[in-house]
Amino acid sequence: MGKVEFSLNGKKTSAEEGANMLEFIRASGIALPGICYEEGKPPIGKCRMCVVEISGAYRTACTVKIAAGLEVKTDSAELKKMREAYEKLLGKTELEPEIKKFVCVPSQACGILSLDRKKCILCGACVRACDEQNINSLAMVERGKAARVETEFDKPIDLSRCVLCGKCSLKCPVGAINERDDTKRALDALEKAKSQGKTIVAETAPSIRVAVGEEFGFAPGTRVTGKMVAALRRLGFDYVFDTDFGADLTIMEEASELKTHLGKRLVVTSCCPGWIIVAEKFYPEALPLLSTCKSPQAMTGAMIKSYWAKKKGIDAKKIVVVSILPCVAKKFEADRPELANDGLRNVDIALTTREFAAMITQKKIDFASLPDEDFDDVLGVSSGGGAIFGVTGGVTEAALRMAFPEHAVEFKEVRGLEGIKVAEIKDECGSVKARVAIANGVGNARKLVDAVLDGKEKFDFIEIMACEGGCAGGGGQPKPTTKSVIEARTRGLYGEDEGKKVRRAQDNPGIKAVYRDFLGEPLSEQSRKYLHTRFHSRGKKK
Amino acid sequence: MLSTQNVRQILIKTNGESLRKVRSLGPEKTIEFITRKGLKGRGGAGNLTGNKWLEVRTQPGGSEKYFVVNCDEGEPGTFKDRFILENNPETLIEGIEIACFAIGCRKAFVYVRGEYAALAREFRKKLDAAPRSVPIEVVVGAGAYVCGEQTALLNSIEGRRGTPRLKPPFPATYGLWGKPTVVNNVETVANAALAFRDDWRGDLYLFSVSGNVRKPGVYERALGTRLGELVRDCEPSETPKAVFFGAAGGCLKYDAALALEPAAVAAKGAAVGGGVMLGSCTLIIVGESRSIPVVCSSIARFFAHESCGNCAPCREITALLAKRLECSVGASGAAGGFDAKFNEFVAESSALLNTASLCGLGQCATASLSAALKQFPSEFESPAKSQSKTKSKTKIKKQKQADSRS
Repeated sequence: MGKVEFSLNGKKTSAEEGANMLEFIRASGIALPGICYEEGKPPIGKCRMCVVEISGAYRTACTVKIAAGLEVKTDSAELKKMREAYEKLLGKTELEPEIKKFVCVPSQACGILSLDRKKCILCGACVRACDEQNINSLAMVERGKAARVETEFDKPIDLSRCVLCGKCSLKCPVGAINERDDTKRALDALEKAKSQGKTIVAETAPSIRVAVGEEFGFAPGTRVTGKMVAALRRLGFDYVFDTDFGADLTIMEEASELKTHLGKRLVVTSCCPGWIIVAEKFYPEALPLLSTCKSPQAMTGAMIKSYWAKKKGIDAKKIVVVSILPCVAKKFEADRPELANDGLRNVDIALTTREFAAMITQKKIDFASLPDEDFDDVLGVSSGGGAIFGVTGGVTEAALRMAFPEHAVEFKEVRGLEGIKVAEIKDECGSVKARVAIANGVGNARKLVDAVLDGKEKFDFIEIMACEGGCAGGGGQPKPTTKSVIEARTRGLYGEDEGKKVRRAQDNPGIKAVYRDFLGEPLSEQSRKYLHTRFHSRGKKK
Repeated sequence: MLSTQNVRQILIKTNGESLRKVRSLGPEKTIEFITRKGLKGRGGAGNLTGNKWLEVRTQPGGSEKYFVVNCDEGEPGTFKDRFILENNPETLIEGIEIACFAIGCRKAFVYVRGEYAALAREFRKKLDAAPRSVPIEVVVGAGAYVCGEQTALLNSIEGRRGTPRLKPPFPATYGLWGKPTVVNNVETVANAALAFRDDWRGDLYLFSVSGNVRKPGVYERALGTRLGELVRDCEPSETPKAVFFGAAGGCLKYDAALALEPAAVAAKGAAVGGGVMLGSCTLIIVGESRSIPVVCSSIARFFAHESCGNCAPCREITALLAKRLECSVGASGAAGGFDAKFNEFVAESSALLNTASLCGLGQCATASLSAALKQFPSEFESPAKSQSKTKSKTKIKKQKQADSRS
């Protein structure tokens, strides 16, 4: 294909033949409305808001491909009238009363995702997101006025195929699907902390610092680490720690597992809670292959309430750990009964990036003008390996840095946004030391796992992230999260890694201290008690 | 079983002779022949069948092409495909084989509407008994009108939700499982087999006639036949007032001189604002005792019920229209009446549906109502003529009882 000429609002212009008309019009600086279209994805064409006049006919711009000789008009009294009428239709003439919780039986997963039918415009963005994840738990059912979005066979979410990746909530253009709102609990805890004599501690996941700024006008991928820490202190947190520290711990443990099993059996990562639910629901037979490591969120929480509490002389019962994560499934993870030590939950409240931003807004904190502040000591120190946990391939690269310290620090072959990546780590003589595979997005993960379980492929190490691009594209991240936004956040995280003095987890002085003073060795009895967990089948789904 | 006495050509069994001719002609010449003979699609659009075949035949993709027979005749008052399936499945099967040979398809599907499940079973038996060179699979729908739209039909065969796809791409380039696909109506395919007989007449169409007639059924008539002639043969039970071309085809004031031919019907329709079409030759004859608003209300209810809910204009407006009409004519015929703004409301709704609906269902949803408003304005005055309707109902009941007794 090549460039073709056509006219836009009477002016001659040219663009790549076959390119999307809506994207082109928006790129030319015309603010064309449109709710259901997402850049780079096949159009849905349902909301009809991007209607334009093309060579005398009214068409939705999102469904039109650029061709030579088209005459495109984006504005006229008639078009304005049509858009107003469509908007009215989407606004619905009759409101249905109930907010439907996807979940109705009391259980752990209760209410983690809910759909407000009053807001839903039936555009189908969530259904497409669920389809891209190859989960297909969400679908349109019934027809005409009765059409609605529903889980398969109206099942409660924990009995359905849903893995709580939260993609539906991330892609919903009208905010009808939402994660459980835990901001009230967090703000309550912050308010009552003083009177109840509690210490409130925050931990922030690697990918928050490159995303939360977007909610306050920063370009996607801008690192706002300092402002993020300052904002948390303004919200009233007594200490702010970095989940990157927990990521370093995860690497120490997971890479040790890799070294133990290298050449004997496969080790699959366990830090992504969405993937854990996929494994528990769809691949119970693969559970023994999973690393037993807790996720960085839980490891950090466990260390706060044991090692750090002891060191500070604070009663662990009086500590509230609030984690900020790019993820909806992390809420479910934080609620898992297995993730507790000495009778205390590792993490008390798990918030998404969006909820964190909402709290800042609600408390009227002027984020952009905050000064840069540092994380608190000991559990705030991390390596570059911990930072790149937030991108697909990052966990693998960090683990390889630990397992193969003789290798150059960067493993470029495991980077990039392709769905499935395969790499071989070779020694100087060219013989293969380890074969690794990385999948992002549940759809790709299932392809990879199917191939491994069928014996078609053999690997030493597999990293799986349930979301496109890893945590950078997580279900709890700011909207919109499109491919270009994920790429920007990814660059932000690799930039942080490059700027760090310490690139390998094992060189992190904080990590050295915690093993020397508290845990002993990786995979020691003490480590297993605090840093490892177990998984269980949730009834196999097809 | 529908009466076969008004039909001749479509009942002829070709007994494999057409297929033999086709095999000796070769695929290209076969398509040429079909085009030269002027075989047109009988599903409503009326395009040259040969062109459709040729487009898919020349698509790249080897033999990964599909041929689909559309037997999802959901249009109210249409039953001609059922007639062929019941009375001449052999020729239909031969037509499928001819099409697959000419286009280069390795598999064919016959999509039968959910309400015809029993017919589909019989047809499967016939398929098993007939010697065949291509696999033919019978797929039964779940009863959605919108699945008659070809892309919704393809989705349904694939096991997806039966909703229309965005077009382009069209099935000729991106059809079943993304492969080039031809979708043809049952009557078209049967005629493809018949077209190789020397005495074949391409202008003979099947008309489904129902409504206030004593002999409803399938009538085979030449295009251009006068409406009056056909209705006379069907023996109207009362003086005809209007003719509805299914639910989607709009309606015309009864005119015995009307030539039953697409262009003539469209021309007559254009005079009342357009949107009237002969389509798949469905004629619902409405007698003088009937209330036009009640018929329109029933049609509006049909569209609201059958809207797939995919796009907002169709989903919301069809429901609104149905409600408005029901309030005006009343569920039991008790009139609430039409207010002064009703015409304006219908005009606005039609404009929105026409420009914004994703598929023909929404675009045609107001065809009948708009045409009726123009041609029978007095019936839409408040209060609606409800009494005549109730009366006529009892009259028909009595008539039926009398018929069954005799």
